[in-house]
Amino acid sequence: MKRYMYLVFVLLMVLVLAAGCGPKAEPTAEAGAEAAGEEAPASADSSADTKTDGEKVWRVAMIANTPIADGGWNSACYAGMTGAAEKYGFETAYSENVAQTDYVTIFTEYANMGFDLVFAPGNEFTDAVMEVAPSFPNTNFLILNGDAKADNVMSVKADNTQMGFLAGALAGMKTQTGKVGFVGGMEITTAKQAINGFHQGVAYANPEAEVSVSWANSWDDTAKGKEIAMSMVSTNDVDVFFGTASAVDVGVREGLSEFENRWGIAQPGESLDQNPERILTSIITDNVALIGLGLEKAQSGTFGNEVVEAGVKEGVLSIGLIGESMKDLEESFMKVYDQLYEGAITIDYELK
Amino acid sequence: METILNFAFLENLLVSMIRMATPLLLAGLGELYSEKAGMVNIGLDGIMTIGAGVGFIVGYLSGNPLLGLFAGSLAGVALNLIYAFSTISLRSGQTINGMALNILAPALSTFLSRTMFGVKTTLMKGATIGNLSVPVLSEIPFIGPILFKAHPVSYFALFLVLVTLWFFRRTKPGLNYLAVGEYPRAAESMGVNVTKTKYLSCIICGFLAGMGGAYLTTCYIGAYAEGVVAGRGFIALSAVIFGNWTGAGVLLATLLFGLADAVQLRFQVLFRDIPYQLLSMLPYLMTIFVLLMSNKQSNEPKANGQPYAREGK
Amino acid sequence: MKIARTLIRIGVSVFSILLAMATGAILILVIGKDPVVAYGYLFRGAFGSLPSIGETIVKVTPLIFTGLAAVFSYQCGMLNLGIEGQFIAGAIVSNWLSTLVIPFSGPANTILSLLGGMIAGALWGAIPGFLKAYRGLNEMIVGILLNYIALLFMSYLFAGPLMEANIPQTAAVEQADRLARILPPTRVHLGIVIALATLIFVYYFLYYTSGGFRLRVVGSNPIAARVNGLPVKRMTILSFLASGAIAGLGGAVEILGVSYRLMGGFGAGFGFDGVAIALIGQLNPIGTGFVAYLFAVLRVGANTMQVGAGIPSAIVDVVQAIIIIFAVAATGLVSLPEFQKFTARFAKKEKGA
Repeated sequence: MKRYMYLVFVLLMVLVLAAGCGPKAEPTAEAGAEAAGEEAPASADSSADTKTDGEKVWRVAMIANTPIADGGWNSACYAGMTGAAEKYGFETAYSENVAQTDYVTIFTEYANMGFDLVFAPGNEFTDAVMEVAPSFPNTNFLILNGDAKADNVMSVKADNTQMGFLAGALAGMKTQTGKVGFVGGMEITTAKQAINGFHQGVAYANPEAEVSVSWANSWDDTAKGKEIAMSMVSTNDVDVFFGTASAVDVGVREGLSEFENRWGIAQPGESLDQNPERILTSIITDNVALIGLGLEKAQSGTFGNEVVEAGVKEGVLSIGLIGESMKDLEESFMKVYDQLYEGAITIDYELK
Repeated sequence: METILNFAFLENLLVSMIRMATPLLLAGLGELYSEKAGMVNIGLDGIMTIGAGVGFIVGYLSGNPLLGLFAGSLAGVALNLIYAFSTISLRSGQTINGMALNILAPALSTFLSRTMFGVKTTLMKGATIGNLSVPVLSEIPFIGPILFKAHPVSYFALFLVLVTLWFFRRTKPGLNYLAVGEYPRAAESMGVNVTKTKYLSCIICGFLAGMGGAYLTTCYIGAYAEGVVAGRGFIALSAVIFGNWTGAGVLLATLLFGLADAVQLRFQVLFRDIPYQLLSMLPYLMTIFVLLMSNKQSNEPKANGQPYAREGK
Repeated sequence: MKIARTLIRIGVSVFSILLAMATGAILILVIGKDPVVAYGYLFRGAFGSLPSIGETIVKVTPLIFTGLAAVFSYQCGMLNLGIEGQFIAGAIVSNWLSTLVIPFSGPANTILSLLGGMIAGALWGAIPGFLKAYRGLNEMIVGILLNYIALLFMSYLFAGPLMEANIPQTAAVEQADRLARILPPTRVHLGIVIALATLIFVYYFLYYTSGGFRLRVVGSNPIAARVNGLPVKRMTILSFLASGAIAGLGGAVEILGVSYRLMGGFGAGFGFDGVAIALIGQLNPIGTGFVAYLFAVLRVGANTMQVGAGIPSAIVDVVQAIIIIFAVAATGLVSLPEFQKFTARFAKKEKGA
């Protein structure tokens, strides 16, 4: 044992020493966004000029429990945050791959560094937000898809049930085999809401159609996505697919390409160019608008004690570019969209 | 239930089995070559990950997925040489070095792909190597689509199984190779260069496991997602033990695992009332069950996992 | 001569760590950041203030448990790779007991939940032990497979029978049933005391009791142990039971101390971290404790580095892996006969001069 002990002792000593003489922690304005590469917004670099003229520098940070570049949920939330930050003049930062036990730590650190807003994209962060928020009245906490509210906590919800409904209605209209499929990543709240809406949407457009549901038990196993698509086709002759499984969805759509007459509906961003022949359209969640709401309220000092739900009516949910393969359905589908907009369709939000 | 009994379903299931087993088989064979020389490499998952990452990046940038597949394999070799040097030349522990690869590789390939592509809203899509239809034979009903319409890499992996069987059973170098894993001292005294063989085993292992990873991103799906390997390295590691350290055994083990996973996915569609988490356990439960049933003599190399020091040093 | 050798060893260690950090610094430079600033955050994050020291302690607690679980089985020659599954089994049962089964609340609830978690971990750990002893199944593969099964079972539970309010997570352990926080305002809880007590117990058992001695004999030389009439099968199962119990207790402590409820991502990575920690700690409980602390320092520091300087967590993972590789390689190097001969000659020359 003695052999390794030298090493550990020395390392600990080096660390402690370095901690002593290391630079004092000035909250740097540098942000994680920059590290992300080309996609980083220009606002991340603006620290120098805003600081010199004594104006307040607004800062927002996002936390993610999986990789930020997952090509799905996190990527969309991150793009939403950076987009909104550009609009309202915020600097951005992010922490990714954060373990469940570290949520509290990360929130505390951002609050300690004087961030104005911390953005938590998911219901699973609610506990940690509610634990940290009372100690930091000067930092606002924005939860996406949560239900919590407090003086410095507010939740915004994209209407996932409506999103699922729209996809379901389109799937119901398009299907030729009478079988449609939903692919989930893991059974989280947003996925359950989307499935609930999907079922209702399918039933609305095509009461005869049958819905199959499969789970990848992963957000990033693209290969599994492909297998799921192919197994749904071979076992149940499913011909229209919708999913909320991030990178797995990419695999699902790749699986479709192996067959004739199978289509996918994408979300949450514009995805038609990924596979123009197979994608009908994208159900787009405007995360910039949704998250921007939090940034705007933080700036104007009206943040907190609120749960905002936004869907078709509020302009947060919209339909992306229409693919070749659904041109004939565009009119009737947009009718459903309009009815949803006018409130002519009622959706049951209760999860079973 | 009539769906289960039709031929199209069965055909599709078996096609799916081969497709899912291919990356496992490649990595499993790599580990087999490694362990036959006494090198237990628990870092298989890491090698696959670097193969998947580098394979996709090179395939995407060059527009040539075949080049990507090759680059991914070489990246696997490069990574595994770290393990090789540390365990063979410096005689440090194999398990811990393997674990280090499992921490290092995902981080490195994330780092590489982020520096190349940044954080994009959607995954980058690259080209893939398509399936290969053998003329005439692929037209045979049922058997054709299963055996003669597969992916070139699947054929390569199957061919490797045959090569492996022949190499270890029928050739002199193969016997010498086996001796390194069984009785390294005796092998050395017979004039076999143990150190060189062990290095060779690590190069083969890195190459095949890297290829298994790159297969995922250049053949299966033309996209790289962080975490795309999804624990396949550990399954391949199990397949070597499950396959009782023979080429045919590894093939059977990976096919069985592929089959169980393919069945599981279909059951999700067929039996909607069973929670998917329980169905997803099927491949793992089945492996344990089959292991329990097979009660045979272990074929594990006797000096497996042990560091080797030459006599008198 | 002894001093010279020691100095060389220390020199090699320092060199390997500096080399690992230098590699990290290069990566940080590649993405256009200042390594000095970045490392400053790393160290301050782990040692800079009371809360940061507290966070390190919170982080080290589960690592001590999983590290000790690995030590216990490895000392008996058993490669327990199923620690993560045992950790999760302990967490599941303690959460279930505390929130749904035990009708009263307070310290009795906490203690019973801890015990329940420990037993669950032991039973889950006994499976590979039993299969190894009586069916000759490789314990590594069974352990890995059982990890996947435990993980899937957990997600079945929190999305199914144990789900609270239609959100896929279990109910949280109530305030009164949680492990008390002992260092306010930090999150440090009684779990660290339990962890250290376990550490001392394991140390004492392995090195100062006849049971521990026999366990180590089985581990170092199973044939001699069998010849000498030691019940190898029983020892095998026993080591797995104990290893699983420690891991399960760790899972229970994590639930009752910081996580409170089960949800997606719980327990990920603790098992393999534990094995790595135990191996770097040379299977010595005390060494394992130190290495666990080192891991915790790097993890907490990494968080701060990410928050403060925008360094992606991938870079810290790279540095951590390189530290492991260099540390292990360096220790391998200094114990090579060639190297020892070299240092002996070096020491002699010094003397002669």
